[in-house]
Amino acid sequence: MRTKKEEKTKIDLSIPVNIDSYNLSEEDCFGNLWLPSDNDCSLCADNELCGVIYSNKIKKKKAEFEFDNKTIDNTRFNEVNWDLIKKQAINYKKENNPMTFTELFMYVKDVSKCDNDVVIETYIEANLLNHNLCKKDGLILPL
Amino acid sequence: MKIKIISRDNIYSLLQYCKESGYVSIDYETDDLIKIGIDGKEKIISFSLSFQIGSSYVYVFNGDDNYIIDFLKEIYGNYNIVKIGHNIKYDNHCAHILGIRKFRGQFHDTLTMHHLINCKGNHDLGSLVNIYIPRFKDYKKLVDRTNILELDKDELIAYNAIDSEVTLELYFIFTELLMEDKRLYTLFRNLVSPLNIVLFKMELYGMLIDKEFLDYYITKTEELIKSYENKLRENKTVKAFQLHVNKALLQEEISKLSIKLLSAKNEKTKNELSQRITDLKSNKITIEKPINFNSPKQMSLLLYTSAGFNFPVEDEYKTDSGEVSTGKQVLELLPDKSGFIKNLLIYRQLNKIYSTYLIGIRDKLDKRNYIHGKFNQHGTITGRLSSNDPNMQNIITRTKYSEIEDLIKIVKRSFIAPENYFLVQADYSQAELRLMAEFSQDKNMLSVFQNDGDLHEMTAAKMRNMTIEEFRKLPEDEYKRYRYEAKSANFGLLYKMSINGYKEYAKANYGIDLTLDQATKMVTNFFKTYSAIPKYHELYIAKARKFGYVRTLSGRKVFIENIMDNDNIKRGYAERTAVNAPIQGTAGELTMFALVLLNIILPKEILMVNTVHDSIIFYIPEDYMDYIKYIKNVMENLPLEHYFGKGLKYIKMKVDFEFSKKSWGELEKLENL
Repeated sequence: MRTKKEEKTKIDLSIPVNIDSYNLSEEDCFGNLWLPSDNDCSLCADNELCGVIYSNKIKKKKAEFEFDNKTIDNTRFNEVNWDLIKKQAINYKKENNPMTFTELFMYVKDVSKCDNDVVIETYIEANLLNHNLCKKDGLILPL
Repeated sequence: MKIKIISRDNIYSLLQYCKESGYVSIDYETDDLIKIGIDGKEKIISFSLSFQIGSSYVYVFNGDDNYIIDFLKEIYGNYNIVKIGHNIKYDNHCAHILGIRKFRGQFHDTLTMHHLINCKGNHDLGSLVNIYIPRFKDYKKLVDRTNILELDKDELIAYNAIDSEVTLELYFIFTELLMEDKRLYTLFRNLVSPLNIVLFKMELYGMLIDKEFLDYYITKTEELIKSYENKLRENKTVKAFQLHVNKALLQEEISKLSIKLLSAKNEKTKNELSQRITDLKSNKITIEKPINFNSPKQMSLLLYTSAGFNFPVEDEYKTDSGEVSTGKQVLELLPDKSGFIKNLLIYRQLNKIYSTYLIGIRDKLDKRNYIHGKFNQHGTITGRLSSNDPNMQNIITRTKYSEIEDLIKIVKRSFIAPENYFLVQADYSQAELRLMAEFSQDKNMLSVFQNDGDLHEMTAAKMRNMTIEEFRKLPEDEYKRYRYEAKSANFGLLYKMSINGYKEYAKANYGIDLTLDQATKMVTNFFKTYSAIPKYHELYIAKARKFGYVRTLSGRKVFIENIMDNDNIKRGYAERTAVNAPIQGTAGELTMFALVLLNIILPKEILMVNTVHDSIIFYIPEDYMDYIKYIKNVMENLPLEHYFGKGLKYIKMKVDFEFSKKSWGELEKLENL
């Protein structure tokens, strides 16, 4: 059974709430059973604060999901710096130590946060040509 | 809820709060819906932002907005802040108008989230708030009654503030609901959410139209419509009916004037009215109101009454409200001896082409002559994309009437390739048939696709108890005819159709007239040939009965109403939906997932500008045509198992390419890829 807070907790919700400052009891509905469509919730004076605490739990659940599952909407292919890759490919070649495809692959994988090797490989191959680079014998070389 | 106004004083702190929260809901208020590529900043009135439940920050644009734009750039360009919106594509268009160019990180849309949770429900913000957050019930009525510009500033601020507050609350409610079903949440994160940005970009690019060409054909079509209208008016029965109408109008006018005369007090008025009645009676003045061939009411009188054609009315012609239909399907059943019906149908189609595809497109062009259709993820229960304003997926390509075939072709020809680009169309070949083979595991179907064969040929041969070799030896005209018939069976019978239903389908869609015996034989032979298909039908109907929904390959739930209904018609429709939705929904998902991956993989020089069911349309620079091999590779080898836990086990999808340097209507096959 939910309990109604009689008085609204005096807290400014326009600045971030420090969730850790609340000693929440698992037996209390507050912060545990936020459901704004429920009548009791609607009447509760601390509905919004409860929502803040509850949403934090959902954020944590979401973060756990993201830790276990790399999702496409979390990839960052825009962060791959092709100007830098090109520069290094040219410099490394000059230094007689050409960049390997594996090195490039690992860089893209790290930056893009993508965990699908096929997607990463296809991305690299499709973008090499566009940046005047090519793959030859496992090495990345300027065209 | 606490509302604060964004100002120079608090903007830095607000940015820090947003970063700390990692979640921001944003909502823009605009003066009427913005037109992509046409409208500017002046249309955007205000925006609100919530980073935490219980508060909203609002800004009303006033001309001195540069610091706000910089703030928004920080938010939109930050990978670590989840951007949340209700119909977020629209908010992104607003942001783009304001000068935002970097859209980074997750863009989560409560509208498409709710569509995943309940594909049948209403998804507009007002309805969702009424259900999920009743303490804000009916706040939308504030603007239902008035124009947004008529709200005073405080009302506008309060209204806008609630929008972002409720969107944030809905977001956490829906995230929790979706996370209860891991498959659905995975689908959301790997398809629905990333697709938002792809569709936003697609809407933003638009497709180039040859306006001069369109203008020329607008004039031509106006002339053609006039000539068909004349043909209709010249029909003997129509002429007689027109006389009848004129006579009735005359009587009506005389009656009206007579009543007025009785109550007239002024002598002068009395004389005038009497004179007019006399003139009308002696035909000195005539009343003529030309028949409107677009009016269903007038057409009903013309077609079904003794003053007109007096066509016999069958029960099946009547609508639910008891009126006799003047729709195309009924008109095609009428005995058309004079050719009037055919001309009427052509006239109607011409009007439709004129208003929807010619004027409808021209009037929506931006200054560069690009058309920006909208794409929706929530328009169908199966999750297939829909499009509107204009509908980019329904550009007319075919007509039954040879008289206007050339005109139909010009519609797609007005969609041209930009200079130095090719227009390329990548199309999943026989997507639904392949997926039926996958879902049903029918041996005959699988063997055709696994050996890169022709399913229509196989069906035609099997239905005649012939081997493929024997069938190929038939005379060319017989071969073609039987293959065409088989095609109608393959597409018609895939999704559980009655014999009568198939008979009508073959006539309406393929112009094939079958007797009941012929149709029965075809249906029986079809299911004998592909014996696993009826089992697939039974399985998915049973699933719908047990769970109330069926799922696509990627896990989307399609809720099936009336599956237990006693009414045969309602239940029959529900059963066909249960059978169709997993296949059609999966086909849609393959195309949508391809869009998502191609958006990541392809260089930005290659533009994805449209998608029509199982195909994607690109603008590819001349120097980039080699990239088609990557497009093909991605589309045919989607990593479904990796991202959705289930993939295609038995068949491989195949993609065909067509291209043109000129227009969408002049595509040529691209061979030898």
